[in-house]
Amino acid sequence: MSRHALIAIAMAGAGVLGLIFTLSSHGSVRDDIAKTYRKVGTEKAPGNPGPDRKDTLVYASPKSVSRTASDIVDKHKPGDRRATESGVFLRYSDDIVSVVPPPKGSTGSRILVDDEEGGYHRDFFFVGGFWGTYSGPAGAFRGGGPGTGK
Amino acid sequence: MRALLLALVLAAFVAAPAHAGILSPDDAADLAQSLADAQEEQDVCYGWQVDNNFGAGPDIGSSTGGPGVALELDRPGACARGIVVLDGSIYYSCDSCEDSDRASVSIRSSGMANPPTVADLKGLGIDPGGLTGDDDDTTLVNIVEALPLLVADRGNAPYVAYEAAATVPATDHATGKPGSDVLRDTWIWLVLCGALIVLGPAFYLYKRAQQPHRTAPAPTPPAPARPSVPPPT
Repeated sequence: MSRHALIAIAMAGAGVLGLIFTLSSHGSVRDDIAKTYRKVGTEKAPGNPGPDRKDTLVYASPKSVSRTASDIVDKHKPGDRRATESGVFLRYSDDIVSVVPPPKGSTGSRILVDDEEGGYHRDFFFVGGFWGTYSGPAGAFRGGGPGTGK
Repeated sequence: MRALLLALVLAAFVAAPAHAGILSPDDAADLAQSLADAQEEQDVCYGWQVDNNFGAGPDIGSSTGGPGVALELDRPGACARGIVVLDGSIYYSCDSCEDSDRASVSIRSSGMANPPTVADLKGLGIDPGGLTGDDDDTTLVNIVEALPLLVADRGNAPYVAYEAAATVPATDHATGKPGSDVLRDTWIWLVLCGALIVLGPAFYLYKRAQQPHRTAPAPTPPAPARPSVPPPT
């Protein structure tokens, strides 16, 4: 076998191995939060009940809200995000992660992991109209203004 | 009848509130209300002022005066833990100009030991450059609404309490599902690996095409007939 053939096989082999490693080593944000933070509870998911619904998982972080959100985003880039006065909300393909202040008297922050429906319901005051439909009372920014580009 | 309709349309147009800057009046009012709620919990006053060069007037608002009103600093006690104001500017270049659109923000504060910074905003993934994008209004609201969170993060005031929605209209639901998380996180590696898989065989084919073609050896010419030598006598 010629030297060129060996180089070609090595390149393609490295590509295949890299592909397999990349896809197999990528975990979900849900799994990563479960490994990284201390679980403090489980709540019934808000919204309509259904067989596919997942309970809300509650975790505690020793770091501040923005630092915790930044740590999560560094590992798993969200599809969309909202930063508000009461927390940071991260949207993934199947999950919504809410990083919010801790209960009064505690330090650090609280992380709520919901499925899409649960997160949208729970954080409706903050993401309603941004990530979906909004027909509730006025009281939150809806976005989508006219803008003024050139 | 046609004249009446025209008059009504004209009246509606004239009566519409003037739209200053990039936020609609409703959105500016909502934003000011959010800041007012934060001020109530934190004793910190907030405001924003973003100038622009497209002649629509600046975006101004505050937790003390509402939309269109700059922060009022003559309210003793209301801002016991300090004030934080977002200053910004949006510059659109002309179509024929060489320079590009740009936006910048800064955070002005007083009476606060450890005020938030623009770097904190970027740490939250908020890019002020978005003020010149299609979602300029959403970017501005994200920036301004994050200020109370950053003030609390830095220990200047308590957090604004998070309240989950108790009831949501049955018709409201999430839309516009984001794409695959795997692709979003690993696309660069997938592209690189895919390139290796394609380039390997391509490299081999290229090198093979470069090699000179092997040709069959030319037939050796027949040996010349030896001249007949007369035998020695």
